[in-house]
Amino acid sequence: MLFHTLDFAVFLPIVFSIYWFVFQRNLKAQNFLIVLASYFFYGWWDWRFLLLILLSTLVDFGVGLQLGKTKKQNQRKALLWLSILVNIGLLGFFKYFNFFVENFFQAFSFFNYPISPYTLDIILPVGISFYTFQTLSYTIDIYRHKLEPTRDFISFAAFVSFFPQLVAGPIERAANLLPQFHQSRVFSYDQATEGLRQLAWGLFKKMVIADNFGAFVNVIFAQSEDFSGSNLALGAIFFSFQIYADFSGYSDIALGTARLFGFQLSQNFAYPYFSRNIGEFWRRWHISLSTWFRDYLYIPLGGSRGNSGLQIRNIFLIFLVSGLWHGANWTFIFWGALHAFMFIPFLLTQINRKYLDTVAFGKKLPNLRELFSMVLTFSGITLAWIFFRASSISHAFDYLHNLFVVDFFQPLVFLTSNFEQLRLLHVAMACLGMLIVEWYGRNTAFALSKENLSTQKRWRYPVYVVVVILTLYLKGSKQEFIYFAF
Amino acid sequence: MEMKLFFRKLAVVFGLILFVFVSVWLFYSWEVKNRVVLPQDVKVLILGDSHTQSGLDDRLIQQAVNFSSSGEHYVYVYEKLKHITEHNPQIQTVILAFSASNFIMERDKYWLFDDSNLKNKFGTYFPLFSTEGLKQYLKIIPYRQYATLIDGLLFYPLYSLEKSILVGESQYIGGYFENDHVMEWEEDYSWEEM
Repeated sequence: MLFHTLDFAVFLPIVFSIYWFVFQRNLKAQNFLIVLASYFFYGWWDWRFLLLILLSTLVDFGVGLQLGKTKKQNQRKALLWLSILVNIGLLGFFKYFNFFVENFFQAFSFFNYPISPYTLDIILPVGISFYTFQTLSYTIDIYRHKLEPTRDFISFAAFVSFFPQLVAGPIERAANLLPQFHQSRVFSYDQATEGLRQLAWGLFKKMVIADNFGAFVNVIFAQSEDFSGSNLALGAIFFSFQIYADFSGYSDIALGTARLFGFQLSQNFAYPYFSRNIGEFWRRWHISLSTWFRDYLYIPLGGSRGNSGLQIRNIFLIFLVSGLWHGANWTFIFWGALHAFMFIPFLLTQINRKYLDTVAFGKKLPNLRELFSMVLTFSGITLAWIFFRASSISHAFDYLHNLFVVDFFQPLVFLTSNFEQLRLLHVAMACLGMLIVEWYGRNTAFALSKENLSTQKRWRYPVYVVVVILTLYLKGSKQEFIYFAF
Repeated sequence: MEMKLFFRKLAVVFGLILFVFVSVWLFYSWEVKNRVVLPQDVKVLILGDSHTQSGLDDRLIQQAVNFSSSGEHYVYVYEKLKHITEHNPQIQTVILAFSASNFIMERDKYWLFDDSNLKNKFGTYFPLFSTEGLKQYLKIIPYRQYATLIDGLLFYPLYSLEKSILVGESQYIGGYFENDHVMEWEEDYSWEEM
């Protein structure tokens, strides 16, 4: 089920009503309802893949219990490996099997041993990269004695399958989310209204900005050989905003929905396009994944300790794995490598952690230096996004070639009608509006939060009404969330 | 207590949103209905799809007005016809489009059930529907496409308002249109080439 559909608009109030009106004082029933609702939510897409979630849940619950019982290091290691093998095995099979097989056989062809690869017609289960990482963090944390295993299966099943964040994160740590299933939840007006605000803001970003830009991006990238210069530059910039509005919009909807049920999920985005260097960008973009890789891969590899060679190796590994996590295609790996290349100079000069505060803190506008840093960082990120969006590496290079080599200033030929021009005007205005609202809210958890609006009390209701009306009026043709494919 | 407050505030927000939409719908309905009130000297009404839209120039036909629109399914033609003739008793002659394409099942389905057509046509013409016509219409449209109808209701009245503010034109509800295809055809088969 997609968040921006009528199905979800019906589903959410029903679950909300049962949750608060029928099971108000019964924690177990509330948790059980969350499991049922979550399985229904996921099964709406394809019920067969519920078995994978169930398998992952059963294995990690069992492994967690056993890890809690046994003190022998060998047994603990074996149990951890069982969890890793099952989760990464599922992910590897469904997401990477064909990719590895094809590349393996291509390597043979390179040495003049042409073999036709045996590939399978595999459907990628939605959200598999998210929930496998989430359950893995549970067993790893128990193994590291950072977390006590839960004995409550329903709570654990609810933690794995919690529908607001099941298919595209945030990838929650058990230490944050699981205890919330054990605590009784009382309806809170403040939390619920904050949830609705975040949900509305997320829907605005997704339906107005991401979906409208997405329609232009699809045309420009699909026919990139017919376009040049300014058209392609706009295509790349549009994609930068599309992917941001799409994914951060999804996260806002997820966090907002969770708040309606009394849960506090982790912040996944912190205004990444206001970053002054690539290090800051990665502390603000897809935070739950970045911190997952930091805690479970980067630090165990040695992190930023050791000599420069080791540091560079670790950074490359992290970015390459992060790229591969996004999809079984060389484009994602290349995208990861590009980010590593951009990140390493900052790491070696030890300025990657220079900007830990918010840009222009306490000021209305940034100074020229800050503005220049932000524009430069955004430009680098946008160039890298071309590889992320392109269908192949050669497509990305052709795109770049046409972007820079052919005459830059061209008429905007991707706009085929007056209606398209008006749509571009709409989405450009909406995007500018989003940037202004987010700029003013950059010190808060999300742009439309009470904290951000508290100084403008009398404008609160008009703002809600305008956001909802603009969402309904300007929404683009429905497109799937980009991160569903990961 | 908190729940009550939550629902009360929620109702206020939804009430305000509904108020805005209802105001826009009322204004749009009034504006569209006004546009189809014709001068007394107009005796000929032309309705139909692109054939009549581009084929019959009402500037050249005496006492005629053309409200045809491309891709117009006869369901909409019927509702427009009913409304316009009821409010313009001076109409003596009606010219309707009729061609082979009316017999092509796939095209017929496309003009009626395709999402973008449904959204555009319903969002544009809903003020002209009679109550009975609307009931019949909702019976033939599958339930799963009701969301598209709502989309049309939410979009076109506001779009019309925006268009009239930006370019001084309201939503197109039909009219003679110099079709590009005809021009292209004329260029393609010009005397010089032949």
